[in-house]
Amino acid sequence: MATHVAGLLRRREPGIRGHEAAAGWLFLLPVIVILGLFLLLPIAMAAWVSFSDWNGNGSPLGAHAHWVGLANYRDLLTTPGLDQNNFGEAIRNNFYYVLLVVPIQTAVSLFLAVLVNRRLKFVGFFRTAFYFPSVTSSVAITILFLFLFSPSGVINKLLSYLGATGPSWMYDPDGIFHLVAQQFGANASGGHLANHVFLGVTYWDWLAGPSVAMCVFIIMAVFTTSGTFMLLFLAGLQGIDESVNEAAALDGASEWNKFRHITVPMIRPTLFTVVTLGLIGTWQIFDQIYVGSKGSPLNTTLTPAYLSFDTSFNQNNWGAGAAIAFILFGIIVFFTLVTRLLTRNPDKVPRRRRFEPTGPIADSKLSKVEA
Amino acid sequence: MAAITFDDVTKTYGDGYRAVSDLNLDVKDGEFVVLVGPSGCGKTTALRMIAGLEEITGGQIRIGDRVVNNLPPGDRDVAMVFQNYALYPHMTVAENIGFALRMRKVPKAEARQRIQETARVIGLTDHLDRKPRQLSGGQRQRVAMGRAIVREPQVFLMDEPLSNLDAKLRVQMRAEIARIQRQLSVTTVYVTHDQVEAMTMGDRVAVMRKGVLQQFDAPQLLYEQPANLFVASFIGSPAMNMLEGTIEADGCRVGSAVLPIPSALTAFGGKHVAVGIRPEALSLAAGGDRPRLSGRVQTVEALGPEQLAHVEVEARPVLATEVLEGLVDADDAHELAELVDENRATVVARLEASATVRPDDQVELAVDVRRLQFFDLDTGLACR
Amino acid sequence: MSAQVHTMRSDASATRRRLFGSAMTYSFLVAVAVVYIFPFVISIITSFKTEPDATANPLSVTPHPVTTTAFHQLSADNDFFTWVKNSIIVTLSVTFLRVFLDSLAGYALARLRFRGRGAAFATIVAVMAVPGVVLLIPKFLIIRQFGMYDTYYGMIVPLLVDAAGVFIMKNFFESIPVSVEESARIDGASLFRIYWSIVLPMARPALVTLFILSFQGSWNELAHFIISAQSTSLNTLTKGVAQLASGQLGSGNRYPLKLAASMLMTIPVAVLFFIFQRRIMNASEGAVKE
Repeated sequence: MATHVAGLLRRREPGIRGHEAAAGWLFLLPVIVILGLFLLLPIAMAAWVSFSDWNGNGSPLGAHAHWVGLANYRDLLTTPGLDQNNFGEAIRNNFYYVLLVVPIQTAVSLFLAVLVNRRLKFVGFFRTAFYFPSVTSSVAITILFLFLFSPSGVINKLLSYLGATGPSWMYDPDGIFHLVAQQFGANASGGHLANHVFLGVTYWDWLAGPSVAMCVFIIMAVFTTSGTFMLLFLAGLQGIDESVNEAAALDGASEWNKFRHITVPMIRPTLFTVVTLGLIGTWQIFDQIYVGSKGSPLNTTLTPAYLSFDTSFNQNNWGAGAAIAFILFGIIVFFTLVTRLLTRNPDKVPRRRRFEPTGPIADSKLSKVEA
Repeated sequence: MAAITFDDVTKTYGDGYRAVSDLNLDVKDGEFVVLVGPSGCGKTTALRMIAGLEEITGGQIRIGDRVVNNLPPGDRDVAMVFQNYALYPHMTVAENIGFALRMRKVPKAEARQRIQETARVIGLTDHLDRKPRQLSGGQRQRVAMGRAIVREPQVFLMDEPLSNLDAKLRVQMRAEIARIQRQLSVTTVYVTHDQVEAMTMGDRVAVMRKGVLQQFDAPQLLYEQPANLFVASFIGSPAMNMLEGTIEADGCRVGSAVLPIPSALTAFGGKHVAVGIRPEALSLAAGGDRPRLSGRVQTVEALGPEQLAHVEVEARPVLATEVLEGLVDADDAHELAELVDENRATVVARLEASATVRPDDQVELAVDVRRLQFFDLDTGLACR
Repeated sequence: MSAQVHTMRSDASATRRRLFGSAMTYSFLVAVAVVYIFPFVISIITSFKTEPDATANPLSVTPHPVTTTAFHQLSADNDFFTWVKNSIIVTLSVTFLRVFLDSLAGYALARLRFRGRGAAFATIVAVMAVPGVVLLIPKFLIIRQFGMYDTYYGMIVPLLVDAAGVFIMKNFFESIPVSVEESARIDGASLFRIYWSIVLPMARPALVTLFILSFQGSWNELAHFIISAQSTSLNTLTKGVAQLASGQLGSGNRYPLKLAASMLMTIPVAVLFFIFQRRIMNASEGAVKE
């Protein structure tokens, strides 16, 4: 009798929360379905394609796609040839883009945030002005910059007023480091740097730096993203209690000292966020290349994202295109992890430093105070 | 070490609000002065003007001989303990204390010594490597003190440093601060809204209200000779009883009692005045010829060493704003005015623990006429 | 006496130093603001120039002559209006649906208790971490596989969900007191009714924010439209103007035309921005959790 009752009791009752489970999943269903179908599933499918030789005919799951293992990856990374060459150049270009954009945009947006954080009149106007470029589309901005930086355009006209001759910007494939080196007489002929190759690109070319054309994109990136990051920094700055700044002022800290010793350490989390977002964003640059240069001049504005697109959609080499996308994914994950590692907060209390007084301080009033 | 002088100092904000009006104050070298008053009275503004954290709109502030109106905070040789401590959260205790030394490029060896000494004074030698978030409230407060002490400045400024601590800790720290200040003999200006704190810690206390200085005297003088209605009500706990009285030929009539008046008032027959009677000036009448107030006991609070009896007497209470503000925070004052009955006053009498009083008892309270205070109801000033 | 002189001098220099500091800040602000505003001003002016004028005098502030040729060229070309039409269809669909679906999901994650909620949330977070560009090819493959390629569905459906939107709604729902919903529950309201008639109206600020951000995002989207459709009849403004820029329609530096197109396509987003600036700027600040 008792076990029978117990059995009845053990049967699951919906209770007051019963409907919630059903409703919960129902509410989430559209989101989960769409995420699953259009994000998770595609990744799986693309992974398959990257291991195949599909050329765009029919379905990639059908008869036209054959398993080729790591062939696509090998072609990109280790087998000398055009694929590897393009890939290497794309990596190099994007690398310099990241190298320049992330520090510059972080510094500029922090600078703007500090300026805008003062209690000055019209600060709202300035904040709006700096943020506005972030609201526009990449297409509009790219067209704008192509216009400004055309060889006979606005920027070069301005430079001519300063007595300088501007380069031909979007048509100039010379790496800026090369240009600097040429000032000192160095060049590419012969030598170790010209003869050794990595990913299809000579060491000398690896050291070229971003091309002049790429620099236009670099400036464009800083122009469009500084507003967003300025807002992030503003939020971080406003989290610093004003009394801490006042205490520092009383302690005799100048504005610069306050910035260096108080402000910057206290916005470390924001700094980390901005750098991480910057890394993730810069490694993915695509829209501007598609609209502005499609990789020219001389492949110096080619980026992995665009190369992936071009290889697949224009050359129907889908396997290679997918492989490039996954390698890019790996690069982004790598950099994110490295940043996280480098900015990890050392929270452990360090070993006690010993403060040995090296001699009596006769004049100090402190010594006369009993503890 | 230096004296601080306020010369007609005024602070007006952009919208016209006057936080401090024509403040004249002189703090002697080595003195511990407390600025006290209800919120919004201007005490913190005055303190921040000494520090240089607020612009001075009018008048002059001098530290020592120097006029410091336009001197940046870092150059005034003034140290401040903030209400929320304002510790540098990313630095250790040692780094917090040593920051000012670092800014002035004090050599590392000397800095280390001074930090160590300060840590000893504030009792945190074992915590020098901790960060503020690893410390308790009391410890953080001591770090804030240490930061000020290590600089050996001319002036200490303290902005309600104990208000974030619990009651017991507060009492403890009060004594600590007073002791440290005495031994270092640094000129100190201390801001608080707690009049008990003010009375126990200050050499002299400045009572402020709505930006205007009310009285600046030693605590005992503030207590025994308040200059106006506000000071009389603000200082002392429980508050001074305020009753309306009328000047008559033979004295001042308060309810059914007639109280003797100082000679200055004899000429003002018919004038209404406020009579201030401290709770300890009332006792259970037991014969004798002292004037009495009779009434019914409302409540009795047993405090251990004494009792406080709230007695409803037939007299009119004084409902002037200064009195009400002295009792409660400014916002509550209006509500209180509406609640109080105009014709019945409740006085608080401090009685011995052995006295037998119960609620609803009819009692006669004898008034100690030597300790009466009279105030002009038109001006609020004391009549002497 | 010397002490007084000293203090008088330090008084004056201290005041001067303070004013100098403010002046410096203002001059920096103005200088940078000029740099940021100048490109837009120039492009608006240029769109009213003739082509030769634009090429010859890029910096001139007044067109010689002032002309609306560029705009005429744009409107004469039927494609431009098609682009506008498509952008409107896609953007409005995505925006409204996204707001609805994200708020549903956000509410479920914030309020409803059910097994697997944690896992669902973790999945959404994980998905957010995948860089968008990596997903270009994958999304194309799926869209094609489902037969949605070159249709409005292919352009709209994949954009319907973004993890950031779910986050914003979830956070907002968590911040409103449960008591209102509980009293509705006691009164016998069903869950959906609670969501629809009570909680959603209370969530207006977050909904407006989400609306604005979704509008902005989908109006400015390019890459997704490249991979989800190829017919020119389905071109959105972004894709169409991008093709303009690549010189596929005509030759030469048709700057006034291109700039006119760019400026026109920016107008809706700009208008939305200026009206709702405070809300947009606050949302951006809070959107990233540390």
